[in-house]
Amino acid sequence: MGMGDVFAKILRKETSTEKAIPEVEKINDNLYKVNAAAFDEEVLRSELPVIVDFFSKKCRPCKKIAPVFEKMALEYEGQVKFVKVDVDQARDIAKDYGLMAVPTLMLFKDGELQDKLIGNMAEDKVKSTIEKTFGTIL
Amino acid sequence: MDEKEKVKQDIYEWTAKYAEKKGLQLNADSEMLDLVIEGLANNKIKYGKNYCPCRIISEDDKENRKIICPCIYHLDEIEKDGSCHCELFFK
Repeated sequence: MGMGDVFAKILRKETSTEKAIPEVEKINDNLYKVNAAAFDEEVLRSELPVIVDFFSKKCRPCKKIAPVFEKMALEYEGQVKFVKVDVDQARDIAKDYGLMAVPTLMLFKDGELQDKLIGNMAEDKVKSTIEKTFGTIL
Repeated sequence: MDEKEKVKQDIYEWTAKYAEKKGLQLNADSEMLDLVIEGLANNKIKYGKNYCPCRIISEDDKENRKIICPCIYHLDEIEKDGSCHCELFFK
């Protein structure tokens, strides 16, 4: 992210109409749905590496990947944190990360975006990307 | 029939005609098909355009034109993956 992007991000935060109160909804023991205001704390400042599923409720492939993501969250508990973000409620974050389509899975470590997967992809592909990016082996 | 149902019916009709013209198929699972068409209908009602429900609408009209269904990506995706990204059209 260049300086221009950083300023744009700051400016957007100051003018954003998105919810300013952090909201974290626990879906299972290792899967949390977070709003835009909770993103920095839950994703960027997480001690564990994080995989984020950017989704939309009106997107068919998003619904398809949801149960797979939920199951994988439990498998990686303690190693990788799983988070879901509804892009319709987090437009600024979608812009910040240049999101073009949903579902998109983004992998973060120490606050930095490491890799992303776009579209509805097979469980094996997600697992191999997690392992390649984070060095995590089940 | 309420406004949304009317919009959904219109979308179903033109997508079916488009698929036939291009030698494509609509998603054979009626529940999945309905979900995509509902997403398109929501965007049509909200934005006045049939934006793909699986793509991000930006503030750039030029970019947004690319994601009006059938989007500029769909034929390449169908060729490569067998269906478009949102699984409306299939080979």
